[in-house]
Amino acid sequence: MSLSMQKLLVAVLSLALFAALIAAGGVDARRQAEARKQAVAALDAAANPQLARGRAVFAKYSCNACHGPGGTGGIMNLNAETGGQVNSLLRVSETYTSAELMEKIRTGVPEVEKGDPTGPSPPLRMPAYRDLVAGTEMTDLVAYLLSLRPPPGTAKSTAW
Amino acid sequence: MKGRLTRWLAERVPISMEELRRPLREELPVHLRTWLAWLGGTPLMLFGIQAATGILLTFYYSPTPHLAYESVRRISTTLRYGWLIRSLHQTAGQLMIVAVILHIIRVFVTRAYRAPRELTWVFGVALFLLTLGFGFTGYSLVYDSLSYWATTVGTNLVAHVPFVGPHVLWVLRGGADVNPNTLARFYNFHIGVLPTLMVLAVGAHLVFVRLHGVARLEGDARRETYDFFPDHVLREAAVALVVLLALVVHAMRSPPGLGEPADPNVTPSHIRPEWYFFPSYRWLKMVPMQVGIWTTTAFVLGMLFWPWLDAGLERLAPGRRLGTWLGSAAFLFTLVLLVWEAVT
Repeated sequence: MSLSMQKLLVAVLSLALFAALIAAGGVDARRQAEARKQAVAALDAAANPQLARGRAVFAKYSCNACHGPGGTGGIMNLNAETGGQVNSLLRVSETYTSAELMEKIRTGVPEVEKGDPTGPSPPLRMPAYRDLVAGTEMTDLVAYLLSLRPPPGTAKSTAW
Repeated sequence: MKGRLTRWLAERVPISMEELRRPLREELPVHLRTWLAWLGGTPLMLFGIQAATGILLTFYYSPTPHLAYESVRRISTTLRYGWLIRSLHQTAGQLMIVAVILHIIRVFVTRAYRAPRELTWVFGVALFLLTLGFGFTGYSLVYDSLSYWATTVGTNLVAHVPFVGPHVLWVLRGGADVNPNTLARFYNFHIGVLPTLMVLAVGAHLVFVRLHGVARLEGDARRETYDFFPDHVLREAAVALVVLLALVVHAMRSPPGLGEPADPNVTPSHIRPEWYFFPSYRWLKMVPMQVGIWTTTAFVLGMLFWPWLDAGLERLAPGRRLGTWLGSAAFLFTLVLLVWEAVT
């Protein structure tokens, strides 16, 4: 490749890099808007009296003893299929409706699936709360659980 | 005015422009005039990206166990262009390891490490080891669950190194277990100790490359040369721009993620190091710990002193290229271990 062609190539690539950085500016603006939206939602949630009551119900029935404070992470539950620990509750809104969650609290989890089918059964399982949690306590608790979210930027993937 | 300024500068910096231009006029052997020749300059360019983005990250990163994860999350989500800077830093680091490995392979295949260029090779391997050190310490700084436990397991291995293991472990961790000192020390290694050693090793490597000139290919009778500047520099610039472009596009398509926060009381079910440690990780799982540690140490030392090892093998069986066969077998074995660990 001649010298002038090399110069041309470097010039074209410089322009392409400049264009990519401008496009990155657009991506950044979108991410900023999303972060702001999440921050506002978090503030709203903190100010919502129903969620505050739900948080109190969560503590009253010692849900945090197994699911961790704020449902952020469970304690060890050896050979549970959920990575050897009790489930975190930060993503229940992605998989449960309000009615399904109420049913889950009433009936509990009679048997936790094993991580290793040939291994021992996990020692912990979720008890059935039946009518112990009912009425506004139940609706407040479910509203609180459905409001939980992983911190922004937390990916399911474990990539660096 | 310009004349006065030039005269003023020449009095205070008494080096002639001719002297400064001399390194640019080096003539390179014509076999380097291929696109494959980028393998030497690219790691240096990637190190430049690492240094620039790393400095920016230090403005916002907090190296304490309580704040580290949150500061990384803030960089990735809240700060303007934080995701881009972090992605460039992370991906350029991974790519730098690939580029250094490819460069080592090229030098190995062309046997450019032979006398009198042994020290150029030694400093090249030292650069490779330092690059791995950057990867290990940098990974631990994220302080999410996987990085925390990878640090714990990785430093545990150090304890098994014969004679010095427990002492090195103490220096790395700042205590018997992973504790708040460990993160501070890893941060210090990552932004202070390793960069200093890296700059010194890069300097020594480049000085030796300049002193000896670029090795000619074995059996290549061509005597023609071409100019380092602007010919070679333009090619390096083109490759650098392509790599930068790829890094920016990658960052936009796949911004860096973050796992769950580290919890010393909860061990994730699958702890695994970064891909560049897969071969030794797989090897250590296959053989007894002491065997694994000794053989890994022997592998690194063999790599470091390869020019003399190869020369010894050449004296043992002249013309049989035993060194090339042995080195190729070792490389292929390492590759098999890497792929094996990756797919299991």
